[in-house]
Order: sequence, then C-alpha cells, then structure tokens
Amino acid sequence: VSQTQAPGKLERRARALLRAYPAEYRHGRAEEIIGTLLEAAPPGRSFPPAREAWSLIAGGRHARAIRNCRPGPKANLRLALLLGISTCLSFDFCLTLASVLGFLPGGGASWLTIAGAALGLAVTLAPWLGSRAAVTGLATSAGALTAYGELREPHGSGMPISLAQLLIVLAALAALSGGPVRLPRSWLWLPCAFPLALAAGRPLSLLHVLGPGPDLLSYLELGALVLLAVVVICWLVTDARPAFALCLAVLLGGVMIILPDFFYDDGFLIAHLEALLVLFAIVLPILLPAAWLLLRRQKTPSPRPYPGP
Amino acid sequence: MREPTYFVLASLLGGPLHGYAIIKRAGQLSGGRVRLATGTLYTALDRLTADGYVVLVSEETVGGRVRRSYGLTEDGAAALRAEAQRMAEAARIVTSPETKTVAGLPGRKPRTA
Repeated sequence: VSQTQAPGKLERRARALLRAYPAEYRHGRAEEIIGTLLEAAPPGRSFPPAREAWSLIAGGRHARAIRNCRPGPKANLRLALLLGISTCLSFDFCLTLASVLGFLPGGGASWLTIAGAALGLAVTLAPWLGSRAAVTGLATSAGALTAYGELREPHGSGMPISLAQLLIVLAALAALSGGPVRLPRSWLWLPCAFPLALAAGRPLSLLHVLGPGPDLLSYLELGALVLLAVVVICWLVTDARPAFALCLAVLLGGVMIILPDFFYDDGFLIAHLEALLVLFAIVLPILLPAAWLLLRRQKTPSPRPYPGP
Repeated sequence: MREPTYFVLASLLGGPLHGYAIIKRAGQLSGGRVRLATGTLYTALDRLTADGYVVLVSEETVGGRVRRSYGLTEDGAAALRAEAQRMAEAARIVTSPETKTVAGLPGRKPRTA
C-alpha cells in the first residue's frame, strides 16, 4: 500500500465505522472524530487499529442508547405501546389475509374481508405518519368495514379476535398516535415482519417446498417469532423500547385469544391461568433486562451532549 | 471518576486543547499508562460536556476538517481537585509510616520449576 493511498483508505474505513453512531451525531461530529483518528493513527496504516475500531463501535452504541432515552419515560412508553399494538394487529390482519387468500384451510376469498384486512394492515403502519387524524380515519374505516363483514359474511370477518376486541385495540392505537415524538422509521420493519414472512411463504408453497395449510403457517409463525425475539434481544444494546413492544404484542395477542374463553368457559380456568403463566415465562427473559436497561439509561444526563454542526 | 476521565480533565488544566492534543497530553501525564482511543475520548467529552465539566472553547477548520478545542470549567476543575483529594487520602492510608506488617510471616513463596 503506497503512502498516498493509505490515508484515503483509512479515512474510508473510519467513516464506515462511524456509521455505528446515530446520523444526527455524525452530522455534528464526524469530521472532528475522523480528523482526530487520522492524526492519532501511525503513518502508513490503511486499517484503524483494533482498539480504535472497537472504541468507535462502543462509542456509537453509547450515543445511540443516549439518543433513544432522550424523549423521556412518558414519550418512550407511548412509542413502545404504539409499536406493540401495531405489531400485534399486523399479525392478526395477516392471519386474516392468509386465511382469505387460501393459505389456510377453510378460508374463502371475499372482497369485503380482503379489503377489511388490507385496510387494517394500512392502519398498523399509519402511526408512522405522525398524524392522529390519519390514524383515526383509517382505523374507523377498517373497524367499520370489519364490522360490516362480520354482519354480512356467513363466516364473519375472518379475524382471529372478536370485533369488540378489535375496536378497542384500534381505538387505543388512534388515541396513542400523534404527539411531538414520532415513531422511529427504523422500527417500521417490525410490524412488517409477519406480512413479509407470509409473503415469502407463498412462493415456497407454490414450489411445494412447504405444503400449504397449518404446517406452513406454524413454520412461518415460529420462524418469524424466533427471528424477531433474537433481533430484539440484540437490539437491547442500544434500545429497550422494541423489546417492551414485542413483549406487549405477545401478551396482547395471547390475552385476546384467551379472554373470551375465560369469560364464557368456567371449566378451563386453570388451563387459561397456565397459558397466561407460560406467556409471562416467555416474555420475562426479554422484559426484565429491557426494564433494567431503560431505568439505568434514564439516569444518564444530557439531552444533547454533542455540539451541533 | 474513571481513570481515563480523570486524565482527560487533568490534560485540560494547562488550557484548552483539541481532541488529538488531549490524547497526547493524557498519555504524557499518565506516563503512557492511559492510551485514549478516539471513540473513548469523544464519549468522555460528551459526558463531561453534559455534566458541565468541559466546555467547547473554539472551533477552527484545519485541512478541510473541523477541529474543536475544549476547556475545563470551574465545576470541572473542582471535580478534578475533589477526585485528586480523595485519591491522595486513599493513598495516605497505605503509604503512611504507621503501616505495620505482621513480622515473621513470609509472603507467598515463588514457585520453582
């Protein structure tokens, strides 16, 4: 490596490492950090030393963790609730769509059900628009269409949860939407994970890699859930809020399935209690470290610790 | 206060310095023991700025890049003095002439091959 090429390569690689920092931090500090790193690097190096590289990655992780705690506990709780409800609803609407599009046995295509489920999926992504009016409008339309489908269609709306539950959850989603702190765009993939998993299953089932029916759904559900849990646990390093959201989505989904039987079927009380305990046992390994990390990071001072551009 | 933070503050006692100068000065002051990495330095500077111990003093462009100099505030100097005092008191316990060892009890014998 020639002496003239080395600084260019070193700078390029240092810039790649700086991507560990949040974009707004890089905007204010990148040039200064690069300058210091280039001055500190021994002459002729084309790679940053391992300890420099590690310090940039650790610094970026720290800067992201501080940025994520900046909105305050109230706003962060609202964002986590929004993401949790959105993820849970997207799962339910995806099951409905999978059912009516023929992924599941017993499903029948009906334009009313398809439209209701498609609109429902749009509602789950609407909180990212940052407008409560838009979310309320879409949620009202989806709720009305599903209610109409429930009355008109012989097999109901096809939703795995009751209409009353759906309306309550949609109302909660609309009430929590808006506000000064918007949902981060980097979270958008979380409610899309199940639709994408189901969409990916379609060509697999057509190629007879996975047979259509309950097998396909259970493979996709289990695979997507395990993948989500792993990613969210890794995410804890910088952000505890998606972990809360995933736990909430799992609990909400479980409780919405258990709750109707709990009220109308007294004989299964112990079984329901066991199911709830199993649900808590599943989410606790994610929930407890998330709560500990969030509380610890809330004590970190400084709303904006670095100078602006 | 962690050792790198202590030496970052100590390096600014002589006046405002920019990033690389802080790394060099901290290394000199610690006798080469503290080798600050760039990421560690800026994480420490962020925290110290947020705590009010360090302040941005000047900004210049060198070779097309921004170079910022940081200076020690009154609070920073007071925190540094308090930490030095604490360490001196802790050291005095060990280095005072009243320290007594148990006579006749040898230390661990070195292992022989």
